[in-house]
Amino acid sequence: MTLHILTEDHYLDFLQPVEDNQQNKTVHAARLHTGQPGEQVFVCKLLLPNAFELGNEAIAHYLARRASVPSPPEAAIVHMPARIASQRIPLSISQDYENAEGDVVMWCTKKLPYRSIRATFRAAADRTSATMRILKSESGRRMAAFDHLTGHADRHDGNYLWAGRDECVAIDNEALFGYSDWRAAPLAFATQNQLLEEMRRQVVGGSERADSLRDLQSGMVFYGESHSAAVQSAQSEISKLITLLYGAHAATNVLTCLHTRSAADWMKSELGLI
Amino acid sequence: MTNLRALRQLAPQPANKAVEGLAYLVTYKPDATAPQAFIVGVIVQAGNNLQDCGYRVLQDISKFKCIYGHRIAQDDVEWALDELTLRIAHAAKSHIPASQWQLGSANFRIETGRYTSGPSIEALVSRAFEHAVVLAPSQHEKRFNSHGTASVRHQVAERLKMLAGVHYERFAVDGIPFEFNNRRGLYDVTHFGAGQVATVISGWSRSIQTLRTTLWHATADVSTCARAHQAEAGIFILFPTESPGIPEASWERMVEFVTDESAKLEGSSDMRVVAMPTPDELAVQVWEWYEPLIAHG
Repeated sequence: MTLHILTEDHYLDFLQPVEDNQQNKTVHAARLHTGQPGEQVFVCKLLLPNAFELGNEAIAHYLARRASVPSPPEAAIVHMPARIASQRIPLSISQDYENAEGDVVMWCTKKLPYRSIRATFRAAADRTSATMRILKSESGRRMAAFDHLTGHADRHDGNYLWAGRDECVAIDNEALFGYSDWRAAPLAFATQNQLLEEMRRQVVGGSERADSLRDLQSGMVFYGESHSAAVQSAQSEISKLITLLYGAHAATNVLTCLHTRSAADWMKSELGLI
Repeated sequence: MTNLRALRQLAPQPANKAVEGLAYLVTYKPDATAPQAFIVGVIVQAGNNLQDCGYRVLQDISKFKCIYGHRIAQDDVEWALDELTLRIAHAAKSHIPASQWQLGSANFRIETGRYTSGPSIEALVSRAFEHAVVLAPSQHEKRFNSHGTASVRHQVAERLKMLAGVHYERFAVDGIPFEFNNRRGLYDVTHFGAGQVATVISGWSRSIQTLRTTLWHATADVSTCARAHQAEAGIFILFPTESPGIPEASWERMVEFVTDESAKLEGSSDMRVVAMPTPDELAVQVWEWYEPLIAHG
């Protein structure tokens, strides 16, 4: 869960756009200098500089692997002046990505090992059955539990990748904490776990048996038991970065929320199993 | 307000960016009427006047053979890539952006330049080539070193001529004829004389299946020949001491197979089985087996 903080001095090569009908048209592959040996190819995207999405990505990155959720092992934040970005990245970069100081910021995750063609597939062809299959796998249940912990409000089928048969990797974690702005005020939001909701819909519609929902919920409770340790382990890194970017009160808001949601029996209670 | 500039204090040592420029990929369509195109080269230009230019074009065309088989002539591919290299070499002196170069062929295209940076032009060319030209043999790929039986026999024979001198012709053979039920043939053996028959084979195989087949054929020929001529049999195998570029698990199975087969043959049929890693060492072993009987017999 290494998170590199880099600048234009570390952006070595623009490799190519990564086209996947995504809303964010700045997604591209680049080679970054992280000081680590080996191939350092990252998938990069520009983020709105004055919003909290950057913080959400970083929080999720620090937490995910500690909660045993399959996710990219390395990530980087790259900060550079917008005029340099426009010279190096030949994509149409909206002015929205530039802040008042004339800077842009990118969130980059290390390219996943290419184990199968599915490593690049999003579950688009048969969305529902693909999602159901993922939710019956260990990695899917871990991801669903993680989304409940972090209040991920946008886990549609474009926000995880298939890394093999019934195996997924969580990406695009901009929408944590119910998409609430945690910078100014303590967090209070209603959890909207899209994966869990999808399973409920399928059970109600008769496409899935009630057992499947119960199994998913049991899995979420089981994997949720490791969340407290994950939050404890990640809190100093989260606190350091969020304080630097947004101030100490923002870090307090985020960590208070995470501690509450990782407490013993919280998941059970949330899922109505107590 | 997000304090993005504060991030910069956490950034590590900058990369060596002595050279900044554009990297261009060169694509090749072996058949200009078909859609398949392959990246076969890279060009990197840097400097205010594009005075720094480096390039590399694919030299090893073996993977085209894998893809196309006999559908295109390999000579044509080789010639086309040679011609491409010459044209790039000429254009590189022009100080014109590579995107404007005219290669004069519908088979080649220079893609849009992309930002690149690093310590030197050579390093950038090498990095871009390794990343983009997947038809080039990988530098990380340990290549299989092949030693066919014919080549091993030739090398052993050359060394044996020196060791045995005038005695060489007394036991070196190119097969021993047999006749059975009006059928004529040759036992595939390499040495015969003084009541001993031997064969030299190569055990440098990519797979245990090939090794098995080679060893079992050799065993059958040399043991049948030995029985027919009431001679002692010997098998001399060139066998490496470390993996010749094959996966470790396959290599371990091959070592186990040779060890087991040697023990079985020596134990059950008194066959002499010798495995050595070089043709020279194998020749010494062959000569040591024959010498007492040939030179002093």
